[in-house]
Amino acid sequence: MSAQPLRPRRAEISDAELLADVAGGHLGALGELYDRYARDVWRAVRRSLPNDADVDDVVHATFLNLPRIAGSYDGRASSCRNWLCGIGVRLAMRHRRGAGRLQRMLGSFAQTLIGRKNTDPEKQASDNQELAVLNRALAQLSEKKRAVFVLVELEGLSAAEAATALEIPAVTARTRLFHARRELQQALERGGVK
Amino acid sequence: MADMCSRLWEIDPYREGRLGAGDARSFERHLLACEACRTQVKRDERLRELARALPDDGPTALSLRRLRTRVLRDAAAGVAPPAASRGLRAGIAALVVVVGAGLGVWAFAAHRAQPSLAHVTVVVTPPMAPTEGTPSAQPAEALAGAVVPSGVARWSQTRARGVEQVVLDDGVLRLHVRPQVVGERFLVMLPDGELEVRGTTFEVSVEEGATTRVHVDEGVVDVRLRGREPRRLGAGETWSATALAASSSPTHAVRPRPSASAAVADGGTAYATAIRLLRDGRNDEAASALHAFVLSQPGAAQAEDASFLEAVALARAGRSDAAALAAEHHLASFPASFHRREAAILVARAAAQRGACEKARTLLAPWMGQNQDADVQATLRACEGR
Repeated sequence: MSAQPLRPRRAEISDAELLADVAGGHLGALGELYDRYARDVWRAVRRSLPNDADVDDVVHATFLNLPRIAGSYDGRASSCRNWLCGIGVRLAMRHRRGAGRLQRMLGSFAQTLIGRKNTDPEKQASDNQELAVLNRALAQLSEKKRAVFVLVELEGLSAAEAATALEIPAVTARTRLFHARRELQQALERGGVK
Repeated sequence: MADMCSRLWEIDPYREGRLGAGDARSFERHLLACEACRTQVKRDERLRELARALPDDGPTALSLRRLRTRVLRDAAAGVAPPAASRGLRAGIAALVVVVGAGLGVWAFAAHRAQPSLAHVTVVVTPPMAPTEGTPSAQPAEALAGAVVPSGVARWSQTRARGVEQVVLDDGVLRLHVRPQVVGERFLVMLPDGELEVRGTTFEVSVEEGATTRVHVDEGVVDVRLRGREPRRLGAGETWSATALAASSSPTHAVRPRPSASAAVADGGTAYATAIRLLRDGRNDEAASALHAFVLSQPGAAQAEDASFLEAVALARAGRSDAAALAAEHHLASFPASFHRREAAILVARAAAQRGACEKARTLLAPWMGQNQDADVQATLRACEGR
């Protein structure tokens, strides 16, 4: 991708136009899209991963992938925010799967990694027992259920939009959402949260 | 029990407005009568409330800005998205090291026993103090090359019988090599090849076992990589694994050579040291350290911050003219800087104090709209009536 002169930053340039520019190698368009949605993508990815440093890597990969995949954006929605969040969460899922394989391979190191994962949420929400319980339960949710839950309940997508973002059938997204909620609610009840 | 009703599945469609008007009214009537559905709606709402009350640990503006720089830099360089995270790569590397330690030792020995190299060009640059940094072993002879790693790099430096070798396994190194005399050689051993120099300042990057970039500031570097045509790069030229062609225009301007103290310090450590000095109120020293950092690490992620903080340190030291000059240099070096407003204020303040009100206003024009902030107003107060 070559560095080209930035065109003026204008709010009226649509996401679809910017993505078309990105696909054509326009670096300024990539910067504009980053400015519009990096924070949202970062937060969605953060909810899917336990480690801040890894979040940066996944967000970096999300935007670095754009020149290659920008053409796959269907442009139906006025904003590509949900699409980008979906890509970020999918990359986070892939990252977690890779990390999971490594943990199994490393055997004894796995306990250390899992232990750290389990203590982080409590540390982050130590001043609020309910949030601590929920945070811990979220961390223990399977990656697939977690991805749907993050997109729907935290990022505000509908189940259908989450399905599109994650490239899964809508009925699958709804089923995962249903089970995610049920597991979280059970965890809250076990943790004494009413 | 909440999950006994057959219409539980309608809760989400109802909430999302996906039910038709008739179905929605029907479900509303059902809700009035069905304890199970009402309970489930309440539980869902409670869960949603709690989930949205989770700490919003979003990124800081500065970290987003740094990440933006990283994304655009890598996109411009045509870097492929990483297949695995740094942590994962480090874990894999650790596993490989444990399992294949014996093999690694053997491979290392074989790597060092490569046949001798062809000759290269002579370039004259002034000698520099030998590095005191992180050679893998204390050499018997003085080193000819000063090596400055950018961030985390895995490398070693040895010298024996006039032949100096820097082995770079991963990361980015900036090297300054004093002119070699007859019988001396300076080699940079890479996972996929080697560089040979006679006296130069250049930068080399290795990622995932492959050389990704070589940029020459001064002198000449011969690039010999497996499976590629040998290349000779002159001053200002760059070889990139993705571009496959040397650019005649440098990717960044040739900068003055860093001081010896800056050259030997690790980049991350140097920045941290400079920040500590600033926090301790040792402003003059901090300004010098930040200046040295920017000179030695112009491509580092912290370079933008360091460049601005140099101006801050000078301002705190009471050297307002020097601070203005540093801020002006910062604006020229980083036109899209995250600190451009603050840097512009520093420059404008000095301009206003010496009566250059037109310049001050021009500098602050982007922030002189309807919602002009207090800092801008204060800066221009000296220009009122002029």
